[in-house]
Amino acid sequence: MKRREFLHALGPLVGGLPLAAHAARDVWVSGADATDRTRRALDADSLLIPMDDVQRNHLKAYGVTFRTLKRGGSAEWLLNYRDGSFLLPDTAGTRRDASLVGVQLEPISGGDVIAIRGEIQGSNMDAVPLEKAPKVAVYAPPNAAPWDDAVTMALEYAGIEYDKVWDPEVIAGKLGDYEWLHLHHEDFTGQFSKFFLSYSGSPWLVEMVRLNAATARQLGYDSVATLKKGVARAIRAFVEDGGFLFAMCTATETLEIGLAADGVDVAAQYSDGTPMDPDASRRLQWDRTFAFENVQLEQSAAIASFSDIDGHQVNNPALRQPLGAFKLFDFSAKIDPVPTMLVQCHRQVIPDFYGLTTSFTRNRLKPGVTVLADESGAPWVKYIHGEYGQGTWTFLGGHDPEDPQHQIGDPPTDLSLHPASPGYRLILNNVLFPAAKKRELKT
Amino acid sequence: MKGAASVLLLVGLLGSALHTADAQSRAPLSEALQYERRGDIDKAVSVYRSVLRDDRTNAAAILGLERVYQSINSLDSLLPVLDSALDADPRSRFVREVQLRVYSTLGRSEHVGATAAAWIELVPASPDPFRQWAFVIAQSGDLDQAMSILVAGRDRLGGTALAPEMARLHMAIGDWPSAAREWRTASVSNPGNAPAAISGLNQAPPTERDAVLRQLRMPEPEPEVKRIAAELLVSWGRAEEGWTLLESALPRNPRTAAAVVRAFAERARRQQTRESARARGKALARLAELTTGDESKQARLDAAQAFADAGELSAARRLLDRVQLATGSRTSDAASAMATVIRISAESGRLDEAERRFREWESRLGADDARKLREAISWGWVMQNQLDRAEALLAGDSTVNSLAVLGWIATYRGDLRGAIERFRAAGPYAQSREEATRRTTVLALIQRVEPDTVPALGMALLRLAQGDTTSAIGGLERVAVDIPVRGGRADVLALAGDLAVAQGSFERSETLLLASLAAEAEGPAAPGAEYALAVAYVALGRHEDAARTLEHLILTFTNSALLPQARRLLDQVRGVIPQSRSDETA
Repeated sequence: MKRREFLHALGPLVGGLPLAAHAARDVWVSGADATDRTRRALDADSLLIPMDDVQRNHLKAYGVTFRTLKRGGSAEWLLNYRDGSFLLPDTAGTRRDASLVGVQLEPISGGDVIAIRGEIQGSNMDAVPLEKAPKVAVYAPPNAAPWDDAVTMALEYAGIEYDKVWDPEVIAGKLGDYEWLHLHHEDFTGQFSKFFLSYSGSPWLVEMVRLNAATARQLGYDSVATLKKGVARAIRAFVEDGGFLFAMCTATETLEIGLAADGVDVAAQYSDGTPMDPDASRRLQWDRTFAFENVQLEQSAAIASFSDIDGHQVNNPALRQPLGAFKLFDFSAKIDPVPTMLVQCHRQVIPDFYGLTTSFTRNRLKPGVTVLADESGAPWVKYIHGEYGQGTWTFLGGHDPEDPQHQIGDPPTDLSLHPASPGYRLILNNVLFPAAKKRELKT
Repeated sequence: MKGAASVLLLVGLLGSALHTADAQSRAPLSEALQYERRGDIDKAVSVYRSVLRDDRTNAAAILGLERVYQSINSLDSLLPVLDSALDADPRSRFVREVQLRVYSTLGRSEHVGATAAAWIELVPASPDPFRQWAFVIAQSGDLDQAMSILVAGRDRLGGTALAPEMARLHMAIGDWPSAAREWRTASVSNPGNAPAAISGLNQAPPTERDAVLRQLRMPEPEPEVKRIAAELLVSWGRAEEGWTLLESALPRNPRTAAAVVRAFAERARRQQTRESARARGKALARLAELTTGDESKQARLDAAQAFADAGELSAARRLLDRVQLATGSRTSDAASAMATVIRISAESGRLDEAERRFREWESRLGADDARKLREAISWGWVMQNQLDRAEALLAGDSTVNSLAVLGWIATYRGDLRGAIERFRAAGPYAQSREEATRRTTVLALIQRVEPDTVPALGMALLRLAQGDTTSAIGGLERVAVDIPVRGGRADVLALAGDLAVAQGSFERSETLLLASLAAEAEGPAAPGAEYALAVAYVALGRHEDAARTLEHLILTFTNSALLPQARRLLDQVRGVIPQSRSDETA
């Protein structure tokens, strides 16, 4: 479901009617989207997937829910109820799936469900129906291993299906086939994450340059930098047309720069053969981007930093900031269900983690950007969200929530050792959020 | 994220300058930092400037202003501040460095050159201006120009000037042979550079290491350069080659030489390979010659232990033969040394000698040493099928540790009832945790076997203890036929199958494990058998069979302790988590 459909279905909620203001049973049987399937779920025994500390594998719980939807079943996301639990129909398939992957289930009766709805009704909670497994695409080079990127690691571990797309598919307009797009930690300025000088000669960098240059030639672009700007514009069009975009680490910052730099040379000489426009910062056009404005670019080709969007500047010795912890914001589940979904977690405060882009400088955010998490007292935020056209975008700073000091060449994170990772939960909230479909209310 | 590290090559600044901040200015500086952290730039600027009014060269305030001005893209506002600081102290290295950096960040390359030239004129014999000038140019990405600056500096200053900086720049460029050449120059002119040379060159990629060593070895290297090469060799897993090189370059002063050898032995110890143990043994043997008295004796004993660790038991014995321990001695050092002698004798299979020395020294050994040695010798006899002698040595020893060993002796005799009694008496805490686990595992097995006495089972287990896994598997398979179907047969076959998996005989393990499951599909041994079967299937590339087996295990034995690892293996079979080294060797 694209966001425009999502918003349409959400219409009555925008009008300010709290969902749970109705008797639970009435809501479920009378709403336009209250299908026979959901009615059966209410009457039959259900399975609660608790997402508080009772749960031993939070990450795989998202996969169990996703696969339930994939099999044609329905589910509900109980926002703020036991840290964002899921309510599923009690089926042998779901029990088997959960048992295989080690997800805790609590079989509950119809009476229990009504009691839960009562609690939801009287609290800052809400029940959001999940009705369709989203079609997920990950923008990543064809030779990238799943372990290169936190989102693909999370998707693989949770067992959520996705397709890989890369420049040829994006330029060919294939993004329209998907509802949710994640960006591998890409450099949309075409500067190979600015590792060109410091990792000169490293086999992985040589291969990255070769692959990107060949792809640019194949698609008729004069340089990688030009190609990536084209890709960035296609991604923006995907969002504008109702897609859900999620990006982490350097993909956030460079996507914005790539979009703002239409007609401006922001790439170092080693990338496109010409030096960066010395006046590039002033010439960037921030009305074409999602999240940031008035950004100053890093002019040095040797410093693996792109701009002052990143608050931590991990690779800029003069500006590097230490890691702290970030706190998730509380939102009204009934009024702001979208940000509420994105921050469902069993921990409110999460240790920070570095990335090439670790955080987002507060005074570079556009007005209207929703901050989902920040570090108290710091001039940066960690997790942001917003709307663009008919779609939405969500940016999370940092590279790997369970490898805070991640270095190139580190062994991949094994998520079976972090099955309750709160940082990775934030990623999976994003994956499941496009599955949400608000039922229309009887008003 | 290592990117910045590689351009931090010429840094040697700032820290000391920060420490010079006037104590009185610390409170306002702390206040300014708080403002900076909250994003209140105007107030931070105001406080930093107020500190600089009283102390124009205050390093912390200048750095603070540099940060905040950079964050608001007003770095040029710092230039008058720096000019004022230079008026107060024209030779301030710190201020000159910041000035160069600021001009570089602002992209004013002509000012960078002019500032550097002015600084050079002020301190013509100092390498500092060239060093910092090259650093900011390197940071801007122009490594070639940075190198030109260093070369110009050397031309002007002469000799070996700026060698460490050139070495680091060559490393950043990826020119490891040139880096080695410069580090060689730097270390010969100042041996204090040797640790940095070792640390820097140690990062050379494997493909460049031989080229690095060639630069360090040709032409005939100076002793300090040989020592650098030796250190690199030991770090790169070529400890014996390193020792050969180091031995030819030891300082003449015995005390200095001893220190060098001791450091090498310690580095070799960290490598934990057979080769490094052998090199460590050689180094410690040399240390024994360089030292005297107790230190020499201890070095020789340590060398013997290192050779024993390397499996070089004859070399270990030769060293021990040279350790003169007076039997009349009652010193604890002598007793400790003798404990080593006895242990190595036992480990090398010279049990008669070990037992004779043990009985001779038993009363002078510490209680803990005596117990461990008694067990070690007793185990030695067990390994040689001398169960009676092993038992006799423990006679009269009623400690839980001895009871545990006696339990094993009974097991190997096939006296399962006696073994169970002794293991139970030993309890769960005797000996190490690993040993307790091993004991518990065999106890679980023999408790399931119904006959009280099964000598063939004991013999198979003894073969296993002796390291003859193939014979043990065959013995277990044969004896299983004589054990009742529900009286332990499945358990014995499961153990045999598990061993076959560990041995890499996966086809055979499949036969054994399926036979175990056929004997008792849901008995206590079944979860383990299914898990081992899945491991075998994975090794055979039969991932679908592995997944099916693991799913059956997880869904059938819902309370099994094996569930977490079964789920983890299932994840690996499905490719949703990466293979780890421990999994590969499991």
